[in-house]
Amino acid sequence: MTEEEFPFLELFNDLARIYLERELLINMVANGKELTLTDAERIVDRIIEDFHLLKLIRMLDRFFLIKERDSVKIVRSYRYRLNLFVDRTIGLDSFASLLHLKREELENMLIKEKENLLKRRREFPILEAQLAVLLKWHGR
Amino acid sequence: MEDEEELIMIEHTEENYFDTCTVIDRIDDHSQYHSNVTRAINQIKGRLVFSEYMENELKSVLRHAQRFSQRKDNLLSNYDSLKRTLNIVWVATTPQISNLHNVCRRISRRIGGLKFQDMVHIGICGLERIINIISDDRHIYGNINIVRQELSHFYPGISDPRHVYTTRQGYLRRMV
Repeated sequence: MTEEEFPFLELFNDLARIYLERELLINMVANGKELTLTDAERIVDRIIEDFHLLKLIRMLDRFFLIKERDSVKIVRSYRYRLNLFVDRTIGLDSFASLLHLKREELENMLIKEKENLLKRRREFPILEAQLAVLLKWHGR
Repeated sequence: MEDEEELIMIEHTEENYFDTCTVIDRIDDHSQYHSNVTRAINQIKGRLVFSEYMENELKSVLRHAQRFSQRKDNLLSNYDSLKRTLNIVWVATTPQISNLHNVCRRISRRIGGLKFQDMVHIGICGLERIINIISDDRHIYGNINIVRQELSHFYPGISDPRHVYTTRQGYLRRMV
């Protein structure tokens, strides 16, 4: 994607980065014993806190919705969507560098980047409209 | 030429790595392959290996697949019990494994039909010298030798894992 095809690309990429960090953090927090995936989502969303930002994140969740029924196809579909998303946003190098971070490092990174993104809060309605178009393109 | 297959008994000394779809079939008792996979896993006498990389993928899949939306918490709890019952060996995502991601991405352009994550799983086994990769996805590891060959340019001495899959009768088979 280029700036011409998709205005506010930088803003969108910042949102994508926060989305991916949130994903990794939720997975890190949930252990299946004391903390379920639902609990972990609640904990991480409490860090993000901002209602409008959470709304944008929920919209991105729709892009990752997997409709297949068979485990092999489910995993393949997830990988396809993740690759597409990472490729067109933050890039694989940047994503790979998040994979071995500790929980605390990831949490601090998420807080810092959320605060930076919230400085551009006034542009969120435009980003929301762009996201809606993007989801429509992908039949979501 | 068609691949030859053989029925195998896994030795006590062999380590066995599980990829994401096999773990899903094991923890999801609604899956049509659940009993086959369970039976097949019960035959394994060697050590069982899970990776942090696989676990991260598993949790994302549980959260995003429509099929699991109502059961994701129960399934993760099943996974946690499985992990403790099987007394698994754990492979953490080190910077080397993160870097494997980038390498696999680069070579994936030369190997058609595979997602680079498939190669990361093969690479983890190669780096950790794990003998068997147990995966229900027969197509993924059809190119296992080519992947290893490509990876060996970046990681000399990387080992050559073998693909093992579960049959409908609950046996383990491997390509030879």
